[in-house]
Amino acid sequence: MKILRDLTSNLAKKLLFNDKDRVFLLDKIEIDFKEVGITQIIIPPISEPQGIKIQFFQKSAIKDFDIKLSDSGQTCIYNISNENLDKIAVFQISAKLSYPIIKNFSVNIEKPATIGISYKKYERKNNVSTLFPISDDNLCIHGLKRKFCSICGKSSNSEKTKSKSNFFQLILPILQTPLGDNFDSPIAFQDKKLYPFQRDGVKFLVNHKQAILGDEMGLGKSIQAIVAIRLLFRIGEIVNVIIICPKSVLTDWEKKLNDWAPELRVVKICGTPEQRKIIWHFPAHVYLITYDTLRQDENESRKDFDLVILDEIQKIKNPSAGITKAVRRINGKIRWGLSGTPLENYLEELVSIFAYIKPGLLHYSDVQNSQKIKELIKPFFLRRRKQDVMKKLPKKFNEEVWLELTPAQRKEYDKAEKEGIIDLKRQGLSVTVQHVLALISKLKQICNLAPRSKESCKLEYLIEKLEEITEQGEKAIVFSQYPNKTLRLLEPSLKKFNPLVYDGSLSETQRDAIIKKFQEDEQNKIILMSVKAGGLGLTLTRANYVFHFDLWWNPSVALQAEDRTHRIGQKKTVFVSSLFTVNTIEERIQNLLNKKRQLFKDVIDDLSDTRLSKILSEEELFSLFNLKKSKK
Amino acid sequence: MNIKGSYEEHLLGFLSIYETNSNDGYIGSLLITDFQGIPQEFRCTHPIKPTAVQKVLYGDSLEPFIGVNLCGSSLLKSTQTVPSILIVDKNYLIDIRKITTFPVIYVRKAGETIDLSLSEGNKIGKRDRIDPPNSKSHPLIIISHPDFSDDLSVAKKILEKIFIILDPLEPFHRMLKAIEVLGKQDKIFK
Repeated sequence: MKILRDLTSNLAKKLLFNDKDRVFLLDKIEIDFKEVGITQIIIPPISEPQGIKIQFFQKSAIKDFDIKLSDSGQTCIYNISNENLDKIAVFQISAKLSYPIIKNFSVNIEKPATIGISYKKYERKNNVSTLFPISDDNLCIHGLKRKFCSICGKSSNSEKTKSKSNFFQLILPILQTPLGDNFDSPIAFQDKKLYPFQRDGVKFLVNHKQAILGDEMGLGKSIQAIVAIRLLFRIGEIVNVIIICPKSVLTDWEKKLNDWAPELRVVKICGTPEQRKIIWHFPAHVYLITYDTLRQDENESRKDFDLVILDEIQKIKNPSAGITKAVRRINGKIRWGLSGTPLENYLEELVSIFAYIKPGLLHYSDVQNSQKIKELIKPFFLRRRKQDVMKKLPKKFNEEVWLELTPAQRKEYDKAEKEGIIDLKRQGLSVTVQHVLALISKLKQICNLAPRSKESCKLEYLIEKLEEITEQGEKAIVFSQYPNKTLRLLEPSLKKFNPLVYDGSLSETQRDAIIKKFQEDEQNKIILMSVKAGGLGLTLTRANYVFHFDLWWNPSVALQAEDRTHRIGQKKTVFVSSLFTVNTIEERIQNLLNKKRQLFKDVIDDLSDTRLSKILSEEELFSLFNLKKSKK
Repeated sequence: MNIKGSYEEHLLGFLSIYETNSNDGYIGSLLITDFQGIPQEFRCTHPIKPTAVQKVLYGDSLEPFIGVNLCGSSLLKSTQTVPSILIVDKNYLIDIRKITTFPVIYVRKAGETIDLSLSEGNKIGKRDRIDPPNSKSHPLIIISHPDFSDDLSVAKKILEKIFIILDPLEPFHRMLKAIEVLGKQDKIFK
């Protein structure tokens, strides 16, 4: 027992108190037991214990003794006499030793690696979000178009490498100071303040993982969304967000993000397909993209985001549209929609919109019961009206101005209408709604400006009004749905007002420059704007007079357009004039729409705008020319 | 110790250690902000995951050892910015003062109970109280290292001034969130 005890204690010492070695595999231990003359015990490697070998070198000193091996139940007793020792120089114990399993471990805890970043170097610049020039038309310093210049092409690549971001930059929003209980921290917001209803809107968004903010146009939906994004970043709820919006407001979003959430790294996904392919994988907090680009990048785009924001969410009202399909491929843990007019025409549109925002909430079978739809979407829908929350916002006056066509205009109009109807009748059963729409467009364009005589009662009226307006130092916007057949034709006659023209043919950079010029340059008194290109999201509060030279089918489009002026920031009363001509197709359309407006208002007043109306059915379109839709 | 310059020039350091999301390790974290709390630098360590044996062998000294000797010293060595004062939210971290040239102060809400056994040698530093500028914040107790009593008055001067803008305990919440997000985003920090 004594030997075993000594053996194990020495073994333990060797194992535990070895100075520096961290690995304690032993294959030999020397033990000196003087009284028995044992000078060496050889122990096989610990990993494979086989037995113990004892060598005797001082025969004379050996006496009989017992060796008890291990406490595992195996006991070997060896009687050793002096006579045996004469014959046995080396004595081997063949019984297996039961070693304890020895695990290697380090007592020392090593110093950890550190990682981090100094944010002093990280300052956001206005152009940081764009990896590549937006327009390829810009000439480079070598006098070539940038996309054709091999030198600039190389520098674009190196720019990309430099822009590679550190993950610690992405957690910067979390490390920022809190926004304040009422989003009023002077450090976080500097001189910017939210209105009380906007604070409610932010709280509504933050508290809802699926929501539509349906505030009336001009109440700052995008700002509320940005502050809500900022808050979610700060509480660590999200680390990335994608904002999908119409092209006309892409730059506006970028600017607002820069103003209201400067710590967020924003990437605008634009440029050539090759450039976008890279930008999609660029690390950022906010990815900004238009609906059309998203559709084009279906295969390249990232699919998972913490938050998806759909600005003007009515863009996905049609479930079979390519845009809707592209949006539905984007996964978002949190999904918000923004729109002043989430419902443009039919309740089915809401079903399509909510199929993305909160799948399963609405079904197409529900559209018969508008009350049920109202109740179902109520928890996820917040809408406020200017008249309720912005009592201090200047008033807006709408007037319909009915004008007589000039004689020359009337002549051209009557001729075109007569020929058009004859043509429709001649087509008989093959006539389609497209044929009718084409005739309507042609007639509306004559109502705007007669192509041969170049006469226009609307233009005469407009010039008269603009002279008064500009004398007062005020500015005006003229909207039309026909940029080429109307706006471009009006431009020469309005030269004295230094008109700016804003339509869909302009590049993004040109659009931004025009808006800036109109807002800041006093020389440009009016802006001629395509209602489709400029109707959404822009802020044109420098103007307080709006002229609808013609109206789109859907009055909500006109409303969107005129609210570019009637929004936060407007200090003057806004005057909106819609120009119509009597005894023309315009009058007939207006009569039909007016009949419907009241009915629609009664059904969905709470959900959408009071002036929202259904567009005309095919039957109604045919009836404008006393035609009946053929039954095929 | 005297600190020169107006309080607007002061940089504040916040040092803490946090448990990893999986609760099996510790991550040291250091945030340096300006006097308004705007981040200037942020550093953290890779997680330290002591083994069960190490936990037993180190006993109560495990967290102080990791917090001061391993994380704290490494983090302070790695910073590009030197803070005017270092604020810690755990009493044992005050021992980092032995290797710093600037004051270190332990800050806690008044009325909170603490385990004094975790401070080295059970020595207790000098303490003082700072009352909040408004009813939204709690009064604070500040405690200096027992061997650096002068730190207390320096710290009080600075903290009283910045308390109007910044609750000295608030940045620790930000760091915790940042560590949580790092853990979600990168498996190294889990």
